[in-house]
Amino acid sequence: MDSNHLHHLLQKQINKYASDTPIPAGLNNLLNDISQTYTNFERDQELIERVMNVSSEELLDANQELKKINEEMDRFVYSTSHDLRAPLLSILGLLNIIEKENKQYDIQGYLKLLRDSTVNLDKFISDIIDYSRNSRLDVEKKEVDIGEIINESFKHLNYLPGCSTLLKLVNIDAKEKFYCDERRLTIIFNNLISNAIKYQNASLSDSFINIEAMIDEKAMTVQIEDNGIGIDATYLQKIFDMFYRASPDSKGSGLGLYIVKEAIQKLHGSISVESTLGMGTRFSVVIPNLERH
Amino acid sequence: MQVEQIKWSPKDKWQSISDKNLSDTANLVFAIGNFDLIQDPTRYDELRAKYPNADIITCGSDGEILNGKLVDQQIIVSALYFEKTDIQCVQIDINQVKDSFDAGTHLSADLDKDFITHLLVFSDSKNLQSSDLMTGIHINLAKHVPVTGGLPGIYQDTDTSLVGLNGPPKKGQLIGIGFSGENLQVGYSIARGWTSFGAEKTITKAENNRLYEIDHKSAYHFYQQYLEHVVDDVDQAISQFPLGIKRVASDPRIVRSAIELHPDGSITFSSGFSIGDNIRMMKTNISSLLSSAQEAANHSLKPLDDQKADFLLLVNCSGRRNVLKDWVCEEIESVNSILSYETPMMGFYSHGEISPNQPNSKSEVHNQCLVFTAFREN
Repeated sequence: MDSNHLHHLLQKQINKYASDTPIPAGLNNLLNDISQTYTNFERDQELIERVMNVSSEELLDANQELKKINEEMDRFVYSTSHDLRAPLLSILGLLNIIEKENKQYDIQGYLKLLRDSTVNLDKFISDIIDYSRNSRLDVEKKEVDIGEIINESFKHLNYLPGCSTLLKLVNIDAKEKFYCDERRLTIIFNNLISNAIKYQNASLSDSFINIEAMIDEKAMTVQIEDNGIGIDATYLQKIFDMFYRASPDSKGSGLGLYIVKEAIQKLHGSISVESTLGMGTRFSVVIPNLERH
Repeated sequence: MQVEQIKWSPKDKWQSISDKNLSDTANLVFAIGNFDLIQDPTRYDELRAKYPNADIITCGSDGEILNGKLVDQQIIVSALYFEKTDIQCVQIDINQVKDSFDAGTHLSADLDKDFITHLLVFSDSKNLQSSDLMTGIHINLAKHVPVTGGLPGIYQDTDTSLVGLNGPPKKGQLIGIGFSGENLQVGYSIARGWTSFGAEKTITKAENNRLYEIDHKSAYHFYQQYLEHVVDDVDQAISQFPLGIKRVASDPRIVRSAIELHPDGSITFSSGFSIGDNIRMMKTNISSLLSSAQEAANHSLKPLDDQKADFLLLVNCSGRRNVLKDWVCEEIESVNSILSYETPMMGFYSHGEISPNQPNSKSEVHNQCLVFTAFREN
């Protein structure tokens, strides 16, 4: 037996209690076995401690995540109920007026207002649906045609005032096929394009949106630029927050850019924004090509 | 029921261990042997000549278990004469059926199912999804019929599964032995000896026996997280820490042992996982393996009259030997110590053991376990 191989505690015990007596060779197997048991016991202890640490960290992380979700949920419920009621109350008000006035001539005008409120309500509810879809559904990878998604977005947003007169420039440089989650890409483009349409600079006659996309094996890089009203530098950092509306005139739900950011996060991409008040805004988005990941 | 045993070794040729003069009457013969020896057609021919009326089950094993001893480089044979029990043997060529599920349904379809009280299954495990196989078997078989048996071979080498019916053993075979009759009592039990530790995790990506992701991270990451700096070499140690699947809250975990780490961080296991399976890491030590074996052996005798068996069959995971090392023989001896002196027992080493996870539940393929099947005819 090579005594160097014995567990250090066993070696100490032997030194202490049996230093004077040479250990008979017949006991070697016994000592090796005891030594192995010491080692295994120590390893098991270490293992359990390690696993406790790992588990408690996981628990803390999960708790943190739950807290964040809970806070968001609180805010969500509060703001949602508030925002859902506003257009409903205005619909009810309008209905009252129609009932009371009992005259034919202004009904068309009221009906238009009713329609606007209903459209707002619908937009808000569909934003909520997008939000919950994004947070629940797994990423679904397939080959996507970015040009098609952008075209569909413009078609879909055609009802918005100012959409038809806006100059639309789209330039896609696809060096590779792009694999991604089509539903989330649609959410991202719908929201970014609709912002460019909604926040045009009314004093300009040549409002434009310019979309430049470049796809390679690693990722798609997109710039979406407009010459709209722009965003004040002090608000710029907050525009991706839930229910944040940079403009007091904003008719939006305050969810659009938040959903964009969450969807991009799910796709492991990134988004950044540059803007000058009165001059225009540029969003830069990078989304990994899932084929390579 | 009567049992006689013989053995063959290159040096001593055939030798009798116990003789009940069963040459013509034996109706079921188990021959277990070292891979090279048992494949020799001459040995089979000699057995056939000795037991002309029996169904002969042949099986390759790395080490043979005979009456409380581990022997090597031998063929061991138990010839069984069931006086009041019907025995039906069925063989399926796995390469001739569509998949594992199909193999199972074919096997159980070929059996006269109405009176079966116990089914023994021996199988090659190559290209076999074991839980699909068991589901297939149970399709045509009442749920209360227990299935025991195993996948013979070495657990890190799934190429070594050799079983045969009425011929030398070969690859790609699935064999079932159905027992029917009111006078037969069969006890079974499973020795585990593994305890789980750490948090419950969920399998998020797996294909057959290959495990890709646990909670959306690579299978290897899980091992690394627990074992790095605790063991000298994580890659080596994964085989010492199987995973235990919890399918039913009150049932013990079904053990799955890791056999091969792949460069992409996925790990091949001895048997499969399903997506959504809840797992924890498992560990053991020599003492728990030894006592689990003895306890389970005891348990398998309980349903039998006088708690005495006429014959005991063992299917023992070769992976347990990696833990037991010097204590391999003690495991078998400890089992023997609870049997009455002359009870014949035999067994083989496996890389998958078949047994209900709990009495009266669906049978499963386990790893790192020891399955007992005890027979008694009244």
